[in-house]
Amino acid sequence: MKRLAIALTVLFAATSAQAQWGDIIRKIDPNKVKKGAKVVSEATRDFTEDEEADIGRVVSARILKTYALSKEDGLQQYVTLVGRTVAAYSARPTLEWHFAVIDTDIVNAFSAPGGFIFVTTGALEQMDSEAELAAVLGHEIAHATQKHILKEIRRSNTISAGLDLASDTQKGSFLNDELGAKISNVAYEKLFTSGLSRRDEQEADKIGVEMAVAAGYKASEFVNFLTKLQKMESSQAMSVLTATHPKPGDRVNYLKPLLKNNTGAILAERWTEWVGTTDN
Amino acid sequence: MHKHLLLAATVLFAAQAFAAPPLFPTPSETKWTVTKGGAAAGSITLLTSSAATRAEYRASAKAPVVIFLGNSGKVWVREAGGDIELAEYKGGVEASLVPALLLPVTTATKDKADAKDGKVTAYAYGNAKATYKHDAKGPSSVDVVTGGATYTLTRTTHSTSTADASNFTVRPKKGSASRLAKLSGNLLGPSDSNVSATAGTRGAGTKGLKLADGGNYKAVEELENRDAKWRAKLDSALEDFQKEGKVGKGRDE
Repeated sequence: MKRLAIALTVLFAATSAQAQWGDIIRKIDPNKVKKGAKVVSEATRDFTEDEEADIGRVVSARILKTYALSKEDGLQQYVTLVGRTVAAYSARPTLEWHFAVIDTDIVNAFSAPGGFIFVTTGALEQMDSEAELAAVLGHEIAHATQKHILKEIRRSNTISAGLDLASDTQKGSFLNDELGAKISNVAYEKLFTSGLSRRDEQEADKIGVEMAVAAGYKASEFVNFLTKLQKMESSQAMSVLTATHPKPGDRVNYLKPLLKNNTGAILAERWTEWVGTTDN
Repeated sequence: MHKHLLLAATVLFAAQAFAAPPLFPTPSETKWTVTKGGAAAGSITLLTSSAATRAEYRASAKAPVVIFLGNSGKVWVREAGGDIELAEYKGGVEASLVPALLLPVTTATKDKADAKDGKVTAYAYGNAKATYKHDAKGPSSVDVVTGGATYTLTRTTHSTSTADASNFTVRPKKGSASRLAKLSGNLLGPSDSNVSATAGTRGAGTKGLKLADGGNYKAVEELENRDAKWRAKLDSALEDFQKEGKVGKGRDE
C-alpha cells in the first residue's frame, strides 16, 4: 500500500511538472495510473529464480550468437567439474549452474544471470594451472551470485518498461520477443562494450578468490594469470576484456594483500593433462 | 658431359636438402587480403619470428579466426583443447592457402620450395602450388593454385614484430578419452540416465525458451540438454575428481 502511494505520488509529480505545457492532468486515465503503479511496484521486487533463469537464457543466447560452444567434450567436462567444485562454496550452491567453453581467441569469461558461466578458449590458453581456472570461474560465479548483470538490466529501466509489454506472456516465460531484445541489448553492452562498474568487478574479484580458497585452491595463482594478461594488454585478443574490466595491474594490486600466505592446490599437472601441453 | 650432369644433380640435391628460406628476413607482422577472381575471400595476419611462424586466417569479418602455427618443423592448427597437425585439420580452403605464408616451415618433407637469391619463388605442397612476387620488404603477393582455382594473397601492411615466443608456442592436443578414463565416471561413456537424483531444481525457468530477439537459443538449449545428459555421470565423477586433486570435499578424505 505504501509502495502504491509512493508510486502514485511520483507519477503525479512527474505529470504535474509537464502540465506547464498544457493542461493534461484532466486527460489522465485512472486505469493507466493504476497500471503504471503496478509496473513500478513489479520492477522493484526481486526476480524469482525462474525469471532469473529465463533472463539468463536471453543473455546466453546473445553470447552464443557471438561465439560458438567448443565441440571439445573433454574440455567442457573438465571446466564443468572445476566450476561445480568452486560453485559449491558460493552463496548459491544449489543453483542450476552451467559451465561452458566458447570457441574464440578473445581472452575473456562471461557470466549470465541464473548460473550460465562461459570461458573462452583464448582465456584457457593463457592459463597454466587448475587454480587459475578456479579463480576465473570464481569471479564469474560471483557476478551471478551478486546479480550484477540483473542489477544493470533493472537500472536500465528495461524491465519496468518491459513488464507492461510482457503482460502477453510467450511460451510459458514472463518474457516476450521485444523485452528479450531489450534485455539482450543491455547485457551485450555491459558484457562486450562498457563493462560492469569497477565496484562490481572488484567485488567479483574478491568474492571469486574467496570461493576458490574455500574450495581448496591456491587462489593467488590468479595473480599470475592477471600478470600474464597485463603483458598482452594491448593485443587484439584482450580488446574486449580491456574495455570492460579494470586494468590487470590494478586488479593485482588490490588482490595481492588478500592472498598473502595463501596455500592450496595448484594442480598444474592435472591442468596439462586435461587441457594440453607446452611442447617447445 | 657426365661431369656436368653429376654437378647439376649434386646442386639439385643440395637445394632440396636445404630447408626453404624464411619469407621475411627479420621478425615481422604483416596483414594480407585473400581474393579469388577479384572477390574477397578472407584475410590473414602473419607473425614471423626467427624460428617460427603464426598465421591467423579469417574467411570474413564475422567468421571465427583459424590459427596456424609453423613450429618444431610442422604446421599446426589451433583447436579448442590443443593444437593438431595440419593433416588432421578438417577445415576449408584455408588449409591449402595459409601454408604458403608459413615458410620456412613446410607441411611435409616431400614439399618442394624453389628459391632465387635467397627469396622463395615457388612452393609446391599438398595439392597446392604457390608463386611469389617480392618487393624490398619481402613477398608482396602470392598466387596459390588449389582445387582448380587461383587465390591471390596480397600484403597490405608490414611492420617489425615484437611478439614474444608465447605466440608461437605449440600445445599438442591430447585425446580427452585418456584423461577421462582416469575418472570412474567415464564421462564419455553411454548414459541411460538423463537426470540424477541430486540434480538441481532451482532456477529451472522455461526450458527450451525461444524468442525472436536474434539470440542463438538453439545453442542455449544444446547446452542445457548437454548438462542434463551429463549430470548423473558428472555427479559420480565429481567425487573422484575432488579426491584426486584434494579440493572441494576431497580435501577431507
